[in-house]
Amino acid sequence: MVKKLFIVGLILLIPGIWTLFQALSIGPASWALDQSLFWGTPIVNFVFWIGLAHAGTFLSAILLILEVRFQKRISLVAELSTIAAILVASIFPLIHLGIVSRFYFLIPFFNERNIFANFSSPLIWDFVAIFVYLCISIFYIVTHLLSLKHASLLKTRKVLAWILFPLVLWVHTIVSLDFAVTTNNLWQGAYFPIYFILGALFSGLALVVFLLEVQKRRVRKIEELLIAASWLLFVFWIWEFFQKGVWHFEVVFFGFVIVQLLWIPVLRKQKAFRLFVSFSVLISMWLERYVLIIPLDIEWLPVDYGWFALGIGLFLSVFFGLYLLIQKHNPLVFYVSAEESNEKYSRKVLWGILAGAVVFALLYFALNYPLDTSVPLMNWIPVLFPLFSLFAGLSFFALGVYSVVPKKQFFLVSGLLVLILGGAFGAFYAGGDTNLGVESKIISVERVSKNNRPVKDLWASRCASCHGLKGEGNRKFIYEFYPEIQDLTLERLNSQGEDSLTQVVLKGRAFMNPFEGRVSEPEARALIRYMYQLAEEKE
Amino acid sequence: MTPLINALACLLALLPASFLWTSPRSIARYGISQALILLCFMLFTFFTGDMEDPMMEFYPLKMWAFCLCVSTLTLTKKRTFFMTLAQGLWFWIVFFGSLSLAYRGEPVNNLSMILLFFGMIGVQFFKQNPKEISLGILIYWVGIWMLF
Amino acid sequence: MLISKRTFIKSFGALLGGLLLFGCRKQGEKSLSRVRPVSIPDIKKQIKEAMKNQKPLDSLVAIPVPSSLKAFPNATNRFGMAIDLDLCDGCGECVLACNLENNIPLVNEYQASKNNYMHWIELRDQIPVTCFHCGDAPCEKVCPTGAAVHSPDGVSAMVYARCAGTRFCGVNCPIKIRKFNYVDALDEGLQFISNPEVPVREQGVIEKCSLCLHRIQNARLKAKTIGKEFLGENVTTACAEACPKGAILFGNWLDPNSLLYKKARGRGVYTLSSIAPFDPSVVYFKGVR
Repeated sequence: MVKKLFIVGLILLIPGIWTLFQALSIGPASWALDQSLFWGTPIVNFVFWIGLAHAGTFLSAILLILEVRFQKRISLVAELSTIAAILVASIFPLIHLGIVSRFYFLIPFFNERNIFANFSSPLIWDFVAIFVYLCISIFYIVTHLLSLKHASLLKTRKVLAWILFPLVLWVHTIVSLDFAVTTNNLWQGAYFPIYFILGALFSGLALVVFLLEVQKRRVRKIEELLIAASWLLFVFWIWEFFQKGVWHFEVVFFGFVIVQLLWIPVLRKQKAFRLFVSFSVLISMWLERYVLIIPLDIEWLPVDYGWFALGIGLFLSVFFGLYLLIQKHNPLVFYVSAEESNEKYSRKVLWGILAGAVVFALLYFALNYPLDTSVPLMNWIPVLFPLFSLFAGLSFFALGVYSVVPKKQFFLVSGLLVLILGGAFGAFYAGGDTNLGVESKIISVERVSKNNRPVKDLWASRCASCHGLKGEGNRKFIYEFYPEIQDLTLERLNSQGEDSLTQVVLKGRAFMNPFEGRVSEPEARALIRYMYQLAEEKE
Repeated sequence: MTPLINALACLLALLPASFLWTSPRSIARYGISQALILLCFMLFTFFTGDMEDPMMEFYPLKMWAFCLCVSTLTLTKKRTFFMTLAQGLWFWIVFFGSLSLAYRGEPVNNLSMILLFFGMIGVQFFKQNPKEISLGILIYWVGIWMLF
Repeated sequence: MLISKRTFIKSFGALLGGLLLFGCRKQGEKSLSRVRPVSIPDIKKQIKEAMKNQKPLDSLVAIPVPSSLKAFPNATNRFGMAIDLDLCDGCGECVLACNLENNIPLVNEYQASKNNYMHWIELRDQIPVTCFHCGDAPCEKVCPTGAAVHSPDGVSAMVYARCAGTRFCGVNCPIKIRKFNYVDALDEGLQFISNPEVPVREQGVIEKCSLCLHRIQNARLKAKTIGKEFLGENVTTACAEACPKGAILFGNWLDPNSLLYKKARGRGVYTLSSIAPFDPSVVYFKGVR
C-alpha cells in the first residue's frame, strides 16, 4: 500500500510539475485572478496545507508534553506528515509572488543592501514563523530517529517538544492574521486566531486518520478528537454567522454532519467509512478556506486544478518516499512506541540557553528597531518570538547531537553547514545585478562608453566649460552668468536617477541648456554614467 | 458593554468552571461540553453585547478562557501546569485579538496582557497551594476580568 | 520488466529536476522593438469599454479638509487633489490624459473581456476614482517589502524595484484601485511609451496613481536650482491639466497660497465611505459646506 501510494504520488507529480511550469512561466495570470481579486487558489492551498502540518506536531509534540499515552505509537508518522505538509505549503506562497526571484525581499535581514522588510506586515511574520517551524520540525524528527539508538537524546526531544508547542500554534495564528488585519469585512475578526488553529488541527487529524489507515492501524482516540474538534469548529461557524451573516452549508455538512456519523458503532467499525469521514473533513476544510478567500464566483483555469495534483503528488511522494527510506533502515520503526525517559537537562544548561535566546532576540530587536521606529512595539513580537525559538531549538539540537555523534563527523557537518550558510549570506551581501528597469536594457551605451575615452572627450567638449573637467564647476565662467552650480555627489545623482538626468541633458532645465541635436540620447546617457564615475572618484 | 453586563458575564463564566472536570468522560464528550459552554457564551454576548463593537468579536472566547482558568483550581493533578496553559490561552486570545484590532484603529489594552503574563509566571511559585492562595489567584483573575 | 524500479525512479527524478530548472530559467532580454507606437484610438477604445462597464461606487461621506499628516507632522507639503463633482460630467478625458502621461499599457483581449484594465483613474458611476493617497494608508501597512511607502510630502508612492508582487496592498485597498501587471506588456506588444520620464512597469508589480510624481520632482528641482522653497507651485497633474471643465485641482493642502487650499474654503469636502477612516489626500468637492 505504501509503495502504491508512493507511485501514485510520483504519477500525480507529472501534471503537478506541468502546473508549476505554467505558473512560473506565465505568472499569476495563469490562475484565476483579476484586478479586484488578488489572492487566489494558491493562498487557499497554502492555508490548507499548512493547516495539515499542524496535527503532526500536535499529536507528537503537544501530546508528549501533556503525557498522553497513545501519542507514543503514532509520533513518527505524525512528524513525517508535518515535514511533508510544510514542504508542500511553502511552495504556494512562493509561486504566488508576482516576481518569484524577489522572494528574498521578504526575509527580515538587517538593513543590508537597503532591503528592509516592513515589520508591520503579517507576511513577514509568516515567513519567519514558517521557516522556523520547518527548521525545528526537522530537528525534532532527526532527534527522534537518533534517539532510537541513543537514549540520551530523549531529553532533547522533550525540550524541542516544549519549543514546538507554542510555535505550532503561533504559525497558524499568524496565518489567520494575514486575513484578520485587512480592511475586508469578511476577513476581519478578533476570534480568527483560535478559529484558524482549530481548523488546522481538525484537518490535520483527518489526515493522520488516513495515514494510519494506510499502515493498517487505528487509534480510537484520534477519532474521538476528530468529533470534539468538529463540535468546537461548528460553534465557531455559528459565531461567524452571528458576526457576518455568512453560513456555508456545504462546509458544515462535510465538516460537521458527516463526522457525527462516527457515533454509530456499526459504521465506525468499517475502515472504508472512517476513510470516507477523513476525506469529508479534508474537503470541508479546503472548502472553508476557499469560500473565505474567494467569495465570488470565478472561472477556474487549468492551473487552478493543477494545484491539487501538485499538492497531493508532492505530499504523497515526499511522505511515502521518506517513509520507505526510514523503513529500509529500521523496518519496525513505525510500529514501536517512542521511549520516554525521566532524565532532564541540568538547570544551568536550560536557563543558559533560554537566556541566550532572549539575548539573541533582544539584540536583533535593538539592531533593527532604530531603522523603523514607526512600527508599534507589539508588531515586533511576531518576529522576535520565532527567532527566539530558532536560537533555542538550534542550541538544544546541536547540544544533543554533539553528545552522541562522533566529534569528527559533527564538526565536519556543522562546518559544511556554516560554510554553505556563510556563502549564501556572502552572496546576498555582495549582491547581483542591480539593473532593474526595463528601459535601461533597451538603450545600449556600449558604443560611446567603452574605455571611457570618447565620453571623456564629449564631456570635455560639451560640458566642461560650465561643469568643469572633474564636475567641480568652472567657477570663473559660471559666476558671471549663472547662480551657484550644484555639487556633484552620488547622493544627488541617485536622487534624480539616470533617466531623468538624461532627459535634463536633452531637454534642458532652468539654467541648463538643452543639448538635443548636439548629443544623441545614448550619448547623453553615457554622459550621465560618466558623471556617476566622476562623483565616485571624488568620494 | 456596561460594567453590569461584564459582571454578569463573569458570573456566567464562573458557573460551569466548578464541574467542568469532575466526571470522567471520553474525549468526544469533553469536546462537546466545551463547545456547548462556548456556544452559551456566544449567545450571551450576542444578546447582551453591542455587536457593532469590535471588542465583542472575541468576548466569548475571553469568557471561555476565563472559565478554563478558574476550572483549573478544581484540578488535583498537574494543577500549576494547566493553570499556566489556561492563562496562556487567555493571553493568546487577548494578545492576537488586540493585535488584529489595532490595525482597525482600536485601542490596545496592554495592562491586561502584562498582568496575564505575570500571572503565568506567578503561578509557578505556588506549587503547593493552600486554599487561601487559590482564592487569591481567583481574585486576581476576576480582577483582570472586571477591570480591563 | 525492461527497466528496473531503481532506474525508473532515478530517471523520473532527473526528469522532474530538469523540468523544474526549465521552468525557472531566465527570460530573454526585452527589446525596444516591442514598444507599440502610440495609438490614441486604441487607448480611447479601451477607455470607452471600461466606461461602459463601470463598477459601483460607495456612498460619499463628508470629511474635514485634509491637514498635516500624522506620520510627518513637521512637513510643509501635503500634495493632494480635489475633484469637483459639481463640474465633473464624467467625460473620461482625465483617463486618457493619465494613460498618455504614465505610459499605462493596454490590456489583452482576455483581460479586457473580464473588464480588467490598467487605468489609474476609473469612472465608477460616472465619478472619477483614483488612488486617494490616504495619510494612514492600509496598503502601506501590510506591504511586506516596503514598496508601498509614504513620501514626506503626502504621496503614497510605489517603488517598483522593491515590489515582489505579493499583492497584499491590493487585497487591503478598500476600493481596489491598485492594478497588478498580470502580463508582460512589452512582450505582448501592449506597451507604448508616450512619456519617457515615466518608467515602464515590469510584469508582476503593482502600479497605481503616483500624483504625477515626476512632474512634482521636476518642479522641485527647478525650485531647488534657483534656491526657493518648494511648496508645489507651477505644477499640476496630467488629469487636472486635461479636464475640460477644470474640475480637477492639484495643490498643497498645507500651503495657504495654494489654489487647492483656497478653493476648499466653504466647499463641502467628501470622500468614499470606505476610505473615510484613512485620511485621504484626494477628495471630492460637492456643494457648499
